Amino acid sequence: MLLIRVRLVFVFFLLNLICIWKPGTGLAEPTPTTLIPLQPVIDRAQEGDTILLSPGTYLGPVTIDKKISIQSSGSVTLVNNTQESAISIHANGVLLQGLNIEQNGDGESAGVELHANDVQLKELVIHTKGYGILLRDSNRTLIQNNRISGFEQNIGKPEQKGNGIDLYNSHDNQILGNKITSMRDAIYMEKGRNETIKGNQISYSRYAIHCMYIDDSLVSHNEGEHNFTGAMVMVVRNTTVSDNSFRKQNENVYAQGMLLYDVQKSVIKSNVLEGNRVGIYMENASDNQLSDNVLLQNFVGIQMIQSEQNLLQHNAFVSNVVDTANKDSSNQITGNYWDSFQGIDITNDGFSDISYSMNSFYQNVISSNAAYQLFFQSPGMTFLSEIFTGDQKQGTRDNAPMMKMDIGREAGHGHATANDNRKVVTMGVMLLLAAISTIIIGGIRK
Amino acid sequence: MSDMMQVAKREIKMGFRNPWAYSFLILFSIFSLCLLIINSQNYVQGYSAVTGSMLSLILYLLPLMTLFIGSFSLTSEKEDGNWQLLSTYPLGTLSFVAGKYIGLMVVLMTVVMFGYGLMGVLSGILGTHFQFQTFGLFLVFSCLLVMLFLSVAMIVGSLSKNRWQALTISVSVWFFAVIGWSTILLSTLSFLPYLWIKPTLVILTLLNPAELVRLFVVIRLGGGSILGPEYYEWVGWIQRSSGGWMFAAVCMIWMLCSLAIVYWIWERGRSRG
Amino acid sequence: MKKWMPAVMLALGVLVVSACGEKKYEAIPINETVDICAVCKMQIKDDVYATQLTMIDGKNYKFDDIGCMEKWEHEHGKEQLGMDFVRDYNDKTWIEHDKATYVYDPSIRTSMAYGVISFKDKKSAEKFVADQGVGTIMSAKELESHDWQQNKEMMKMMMDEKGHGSEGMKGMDGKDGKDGHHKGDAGHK
Repeated sequence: MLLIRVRLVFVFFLLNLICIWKPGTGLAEPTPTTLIPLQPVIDRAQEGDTILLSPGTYLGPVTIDKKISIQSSGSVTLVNNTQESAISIHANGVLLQGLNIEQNGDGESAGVELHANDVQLKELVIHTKGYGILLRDSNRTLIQNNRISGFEQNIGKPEQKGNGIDLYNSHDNQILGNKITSMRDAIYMEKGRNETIKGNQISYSRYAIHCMYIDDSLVSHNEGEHNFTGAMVMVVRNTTVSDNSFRKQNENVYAQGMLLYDVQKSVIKSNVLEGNRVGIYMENASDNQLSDNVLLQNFVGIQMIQSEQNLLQHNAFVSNVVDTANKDSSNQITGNYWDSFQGIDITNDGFSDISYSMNSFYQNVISSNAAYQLFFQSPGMTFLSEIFTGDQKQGTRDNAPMMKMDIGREAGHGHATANDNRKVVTMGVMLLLAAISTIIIGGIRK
Repeated sequence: MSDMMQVAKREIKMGFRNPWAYSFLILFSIFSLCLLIINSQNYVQGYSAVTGSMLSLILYLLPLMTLFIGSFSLTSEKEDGNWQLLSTYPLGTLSFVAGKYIGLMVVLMTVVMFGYGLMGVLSGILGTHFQFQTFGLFLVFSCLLVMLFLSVAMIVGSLSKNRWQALTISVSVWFFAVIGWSTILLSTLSFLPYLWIKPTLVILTLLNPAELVRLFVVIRLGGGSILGPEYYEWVGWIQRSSGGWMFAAVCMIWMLCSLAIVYWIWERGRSRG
Repeated sequence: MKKWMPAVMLALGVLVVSACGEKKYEAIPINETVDICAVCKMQIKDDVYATQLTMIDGKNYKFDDIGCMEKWEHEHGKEQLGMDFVRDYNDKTWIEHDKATYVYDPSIRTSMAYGVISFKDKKSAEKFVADQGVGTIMSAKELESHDWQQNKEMMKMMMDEKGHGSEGMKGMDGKDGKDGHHKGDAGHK
């Protein structure tokens, strides 16, 4: 056995030697010390040209002020060590594709900075100490399949980094299929209309998607994990937030799957919110429609503060420590599934004929003093809440809870493995044996 | 030392011949079984509805059980005249108290271990998805509860003259610490100025073993963020690996202090004859 | 139980002493990990736009924009208010709300787009306005009659005028490019 292993190692060693010695195998790349300045290359290009960069490491920063396309034929890296943005685009219709950008400037500088319309950024890999992509007064941009990540410094302190994609006063942009990690706000948008944010994957950032004054937009099929908050939707009208999943946002004391502040006339549909501190937090939100969302294993399912005239229908609340924590809210709540509630369906229409009352006692207590949050789910507290459920006004009850859950069956995926099960059983056997032998030795034997 | 072990051994023997111990063993086993069956559909891990309600139910049952068994054992020594007999021997009060504590602890731990053993084995049969870490944490949680409430039970037993008195005090201590705690605190703390509420609440929480242990487990299950901005530093400490040791130290201090009180009560009783 | 009482009493005693010590209201440093705006619930960056107020009973609220604090005071009234603080735009020191000088312009970017910033004296406010070429200077008294408009669509008109040609864009670059970067622009992101 030992002999075979030694022989294998030897063969492997030989193979390595061959690879190294073989000339011109494409493994040979220019050494990182030869940095090719990129600006002259751009300056030589004509309006409308496509520059195909050969593999290598290039030096920034560069400014693009004519309509050109820059693509790569292999591994192209642009390094920028200045406090300016690695690439600044000031001309409409520019295309960047397949570049690696290493932005070593921090603060307000970015990997790519846009001040132009109809720009396309595709398959870029941006590693930045500052921002990822900045959009200023830039419309109809397509930002697709890029990867943006912050440096590993300040782990757990995303608030001290830059934003992944930072959009300001820009309209009709599409942000699709990007992977963003370790930034402050992964996608930050302020003042814009008709934005499409679809299919992005975001982790370890402060807010995954942060909308401020964004109207008529679509946020769908995004995935967020381990951020402070998944979607921070603030002062927004006529926007659809659908089919997103936000999981495990429970570290920060204000973490939540989704926060809706001053959101009006919007649709929040078919999202999965799992394992967050609060699944959906709403404040000052009205006339929204929340349906088909699955709220699973959150500490608090939904929290509604001063929110009125929203419709909550056909959502599933499963295995949350507390389903709701509401205050000063009156909404139309009907036909949701609550696993903590045992309904009675006499009419056999799939909906319970007794209503599900929600409790606002705890929320009222902690709003007087945050120190009382220590009582969250204290056994006495649940007792006390029951007493106060009696005086419930309309709007804090589900009139016709759904009897059986028909959505989100596939949503829950636990991490307890077969190995876990074996260990639990083994431990169980050991405990039982220990207990029985203690009884025999200590108690029964003379 | 050998005196203490003698007392402990005697206590274990008496404990396992006491029908109370077995009735609680059966009760706790049935109870853990029920928990398992209710949760057979769910993944038992992290801080969720499942683990939250398990916590509450264990908080209802275990302290009561511990208070009864612990305090009765002490009062029966007085009632049966054993203590009068023992105190004529050259047996140190410390050996007596510590021996009692260790013996009772073994008996109660056996009950807990039996219950959890059954739960573990059956979870394999029922196919419940029980995360090992969570299972372990609940075991530790229960043992800690027993340990701390046993020291309270010893105080109760020392102060009571007979079994009935012990029963009454036990139930009121249990009610105060587990059920009435938040109600009583909410109503009394509201008379304090705003800035005093949090520190007072923290001190009082340190004095209530039920809350102390519950919060430790909630934080260890990953639910610390629900306690809000006022406690995030504490949560950070407890989540770290050193947090476990820190908590163990707090529990030790707790136990030693209450055992010192018990010692003092018995020593006083002895000197007064 | 009896044994606890002296300890509790002692702790309370210490509290009484420490509580009596602070008659003056002082600003509390911003903790970026746990401080959120009491109005809009956003995490507060420890920057010049942060504000805070302390109630008479010692309860402290923090905000990420002067406008948010204004909104809170408007909704909750000022009867229980102990002291409210804003920050100097240049050196981030906390200043009492009523002693500060304010500058408003819709083009100034603040956390919640209220566009009002604060200065410790009138001179630095005047300097800011002179440097930027825009902005209305207001005293705390004049600020009371401010309408607190959030500037959600400030560039909309300009956008429409400019059209989409590259010429139009060039003009914009000049204003919003690196050199002309509005100072307020660098603030909240």
